[in-house]
Amino acid sequence: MNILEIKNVTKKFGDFIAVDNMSLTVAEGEIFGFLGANGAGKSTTINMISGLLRPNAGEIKILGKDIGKHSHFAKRNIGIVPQDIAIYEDLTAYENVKFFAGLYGLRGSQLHERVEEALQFVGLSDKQKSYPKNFSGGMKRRLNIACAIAHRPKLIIMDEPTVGIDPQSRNYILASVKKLNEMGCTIIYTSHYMEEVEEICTRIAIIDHGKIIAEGTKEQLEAIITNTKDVWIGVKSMDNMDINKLKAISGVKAVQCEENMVKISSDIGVNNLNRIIQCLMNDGVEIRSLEEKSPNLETVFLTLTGRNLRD
Amino acid sequence: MNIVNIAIKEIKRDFRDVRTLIFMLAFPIVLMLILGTALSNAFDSTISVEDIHVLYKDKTAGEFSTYVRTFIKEAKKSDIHFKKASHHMDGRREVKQGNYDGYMEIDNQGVQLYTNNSNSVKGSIIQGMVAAFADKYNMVAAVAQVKPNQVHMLMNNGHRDDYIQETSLHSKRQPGAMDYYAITMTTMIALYGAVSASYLIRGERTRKTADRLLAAPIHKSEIFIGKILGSMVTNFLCVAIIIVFSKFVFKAYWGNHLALVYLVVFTEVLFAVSFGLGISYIARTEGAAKMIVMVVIQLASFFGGAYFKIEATSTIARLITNLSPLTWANTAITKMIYANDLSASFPAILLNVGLSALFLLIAGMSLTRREGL
Repeated sequence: MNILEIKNVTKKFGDFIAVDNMSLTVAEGEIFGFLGANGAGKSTTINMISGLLRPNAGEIKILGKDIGKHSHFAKRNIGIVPQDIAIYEDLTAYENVKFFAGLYGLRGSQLHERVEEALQFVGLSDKQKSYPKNFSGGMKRRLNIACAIAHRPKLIIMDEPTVGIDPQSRNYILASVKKLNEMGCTIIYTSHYMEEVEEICTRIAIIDHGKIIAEGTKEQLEAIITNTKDVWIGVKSMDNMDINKLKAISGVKAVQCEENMVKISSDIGVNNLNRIIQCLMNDGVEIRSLEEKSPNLETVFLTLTGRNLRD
Repeated sequence: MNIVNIAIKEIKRDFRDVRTLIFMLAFPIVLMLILGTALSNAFDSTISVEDIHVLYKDKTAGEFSTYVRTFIKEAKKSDIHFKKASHHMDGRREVKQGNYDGYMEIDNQGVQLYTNNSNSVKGSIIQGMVAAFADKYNMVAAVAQVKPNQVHMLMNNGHRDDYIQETSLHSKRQPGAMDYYAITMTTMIALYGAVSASYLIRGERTRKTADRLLAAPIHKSEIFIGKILGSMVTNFLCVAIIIVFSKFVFKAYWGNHLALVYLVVFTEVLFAVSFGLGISYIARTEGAAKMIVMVVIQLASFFGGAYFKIEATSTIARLITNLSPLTWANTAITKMIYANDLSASFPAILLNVGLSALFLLIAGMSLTRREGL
């Protein structure tokens, strides 16, 4: 079942079209990556899903219900982790989570249990009586997440949740995202760090100028821009090398030699690296280095949008 | 329930903001102490009057003369000394030269009095006393011209020695410096609630918590009301603490209608919060909102008599003074305390509530139009 359906949604700010006739679906259980450079329309889309902005046209459904007509139902099923840390510095960690969870109708012992659970999940149980003003950036980010999950939402929207934190906290957060997903939450995840998206997202959409320009799994996106992968092999000498033998290996499309480097292009999806190495060794070619280069998400993004993700 | 949750959160945060709390509590108390002590003499309504010397010429005879002597004897009891002027003396000149405080000329036709304007207090006392005497004397003189045989009866009928009557221009109790500053500092700090209120909603936007609040399944109105309620409770508690502190520590007099005094102050807090909130929606930037609020508070404090009593004499000065919310509140509270005039609270309450409704309407309408808070 689709947890989120966006159909022909447009959002304008004056004459500027931030989101242009966008359609998108996210199925339950996915970790959906949302990639886009600054100003691409990513945050506007997220804000419309969260109910913070109203679309000028189109419809957005959460669990099959239109958020315009059933806004409280939609909001109850969404947890939002905003890009900017949205907590009260003068309330303790416990009070922060309790306050926001309380707005979702939780009361009494249930509220207390959920708050403790959320703080434990993000590893801040022992800091629940501390004030966030004394927290590190990573701890604040984790508290930011705790405030979004205490009411156990089905869909969690995480907007750049790892900005400006140390690698340890980043790893903790990425592991938390996977764990939340395993617990049954659907995640919409945006990040400027391509490797994070590659690591955790099951499906990715690339947005540019308010439009979804590509959508699919990582492999599907890579396949959009190329159907070949390259292997660069550094050799001591090419004297004994038989290029024709290499070309005869299944899947190999081209072989190019440059100084002591051999570039072998093969069909994507064909695993022929073992046979290539075997062939070279049989000819007595001494291999010094080996690098497989297939188009990554960064390349895909750059090719499709013409700009880097951090632009 | 969400409204209560939001209000409680506001109260908690406000009371943990030590700097603001010190300002809201310590600032008025310290000012009260300094001004109340330093300016205590300025509020003393006791005036010392030395002996009064009056020159007189008595051209009366018979019954009239006796009556005048009795009057002079009675006046001496009140340290008003009459000296008979010799024939060649010009009584008016003597008064003009400051040798005497007054000159009285009595004949069978009536009484004429001249006093020196340079000492209005003494002059007023003489006038008051002589007026009481002259009322009867002139009446008897008039009767004597028509029915002389009735004079004796009139002279002796209703013998009086109360020529000087104590008529207080003020009520029994007048505010001393501490009493005065207890009121003005309380109402002034109530108005300062507008400063934090100007940041009430804008603060959520700056802190980015506005989005999290709006992403929750609650109405904007709940956020709006909850925040106003929280701010009002905090500000009112501060003001209430100041009243209690001034009453028991500084022994400031708050009268017998404390509940009504609290009600007036409560409506002023409502006005302050609404005003700050309204301005935060009218002004484009946070800085502009804060500046407008601060300027208004400073002017209102000055013209409302927070630092010293303003005696507005001209029409424009009176108009400006009356425009200050502190004037409404201070006047109402002072009248309630010192004149038992409970109806004086109504104009202040109505003005505060009315203007609050206006500013809340502005804020509410702006909030409805916005997509965010």
